[in-house]
Amino acid sequence: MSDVLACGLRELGRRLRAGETTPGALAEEALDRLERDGRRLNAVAALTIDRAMAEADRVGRELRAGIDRGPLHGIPYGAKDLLAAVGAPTTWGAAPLRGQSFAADAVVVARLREAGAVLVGKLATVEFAGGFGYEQPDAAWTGPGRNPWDPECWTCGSSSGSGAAVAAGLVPFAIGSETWGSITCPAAYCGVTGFRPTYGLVPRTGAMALSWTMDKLGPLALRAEDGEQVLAAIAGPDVSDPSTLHRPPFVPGPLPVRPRIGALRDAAKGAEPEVAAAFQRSLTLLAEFADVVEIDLPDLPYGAAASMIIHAESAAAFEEFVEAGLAVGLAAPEDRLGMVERFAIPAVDYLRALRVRRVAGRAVDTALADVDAVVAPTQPTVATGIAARFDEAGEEDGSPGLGAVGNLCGLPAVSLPNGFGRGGLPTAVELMGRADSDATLLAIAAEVQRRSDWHLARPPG
Amino acid sequence: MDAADAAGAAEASEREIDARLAVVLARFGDRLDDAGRAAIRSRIAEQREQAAELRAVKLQNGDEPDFVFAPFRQDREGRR
Repeated sequence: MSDVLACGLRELGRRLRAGETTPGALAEEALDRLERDGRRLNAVAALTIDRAMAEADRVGRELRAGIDRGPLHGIPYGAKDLLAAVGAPTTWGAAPLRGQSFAADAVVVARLREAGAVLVGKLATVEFAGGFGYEQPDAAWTGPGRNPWDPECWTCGSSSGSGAAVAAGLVPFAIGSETWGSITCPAAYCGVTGFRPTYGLVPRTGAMALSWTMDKLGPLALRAEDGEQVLAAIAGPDVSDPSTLHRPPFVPGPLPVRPRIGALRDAAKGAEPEVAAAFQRSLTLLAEFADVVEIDLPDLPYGAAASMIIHAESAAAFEEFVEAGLAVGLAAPEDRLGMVERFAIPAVDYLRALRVRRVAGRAVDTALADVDAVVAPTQPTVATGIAARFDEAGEEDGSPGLGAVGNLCGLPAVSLPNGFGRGGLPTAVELMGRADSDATLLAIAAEVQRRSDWHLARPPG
Repeated sequence: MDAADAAGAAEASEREIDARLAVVLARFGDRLDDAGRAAIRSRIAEQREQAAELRAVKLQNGDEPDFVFAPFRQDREGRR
């Protein structure tokens, strides 16, 4: 099996510019791998064959003519199937919407095209990015996301295809989305590097809206340095997405001199023993180049506020779909109930959640003011079984981690593989920072990966 | 809270959950069987617990939600 697509953007770029490969050859390799292995993993919603070969031909001619669009020029990638892309259906993972298509690319897809990247496929997502409240992995028309490390285990969601495709070396990078855990969890379960940007850094225009005030788009790749290159291409203001108009630009930056890392107190409490051991190893590694101190976050109902906001906004976002009775066509039985309970959320409860978020954002920012990042295990377990219900799989045990607080407050985070646990499945650690600390987080993540090789391990087969 | 107060609060909570369920059923009841109604009732109870958690956070009158309404002017779009 060729692993050329897993060798990293820097090496792929070198091979392209040295004439050792072409954008067309890379696109064909990605399309073949997605067809053969991606389908087996339920990672593919659609291949964009005609578009991919046309884009590859265009950027290949440019390279030969000396036109170089930068580090993504000629690189194939996949986009989560909630991003609009001309020439392919955009189903949002939902069977009733399998015929849906859009006349314009999502802004992120358009920016990647401008950067010379080649879209080879739409990657599977949990239906509506998990927004209807799924309780087990079989919740998309593509089937449950199968983990390349063990197909009888789940990829996590909702960026299930993005996580699996990158882990299996089917594409060098993929775009995912996160409202609450949908980039970091698949990155953790699949053993790849997933980056959730500060809310508002990456425009969502042309992406399915689940929760307007919590949705983020970000890259998954094998290496943090690759995620940084992708983020540089997709970040920046867009007039159609007001959340992006007030954020400072993303500028990749150097590692701070002797960074200060906060280890979240009791972060590994309740985690599987191998996850806890891997977390300790990560702290030891971080201490080689950073000052590691223990840190607490303010005791606030992050999870309750995040849930309330997502539930109220998603009910509004999908009201027409639910009203039309289309939810009965969804894959997960619990999703077929159509989230109807959310239509009885009092407006005052939603507004209180927004007000609590403001208080939480300020309190958490103060708590993080003296550190460059806070660190915790991304998930308390390794990948759970392909048929396991979440409430029985141990995912909801132990420390709440950083998912609720980070997503509620719109903070950036990166999940990095940091070892292996039960069944030879990847473990992962999450670094989260203050708003707009994206570059610093990625620099710390890249330094971790310069000093370790967990991210280079490849799944069997 | 003594036992009688607790029992009264629990009863009030159940009444509120049933009232919210009635709102849901008025709109969507024809699509829900008994199992579906039970599942929705359980989710409403969860939402109510989350709202109670949020009400436990002390807020000031001036703690406004983090959103800003911006009146639209086409010739200034993108400069806001």
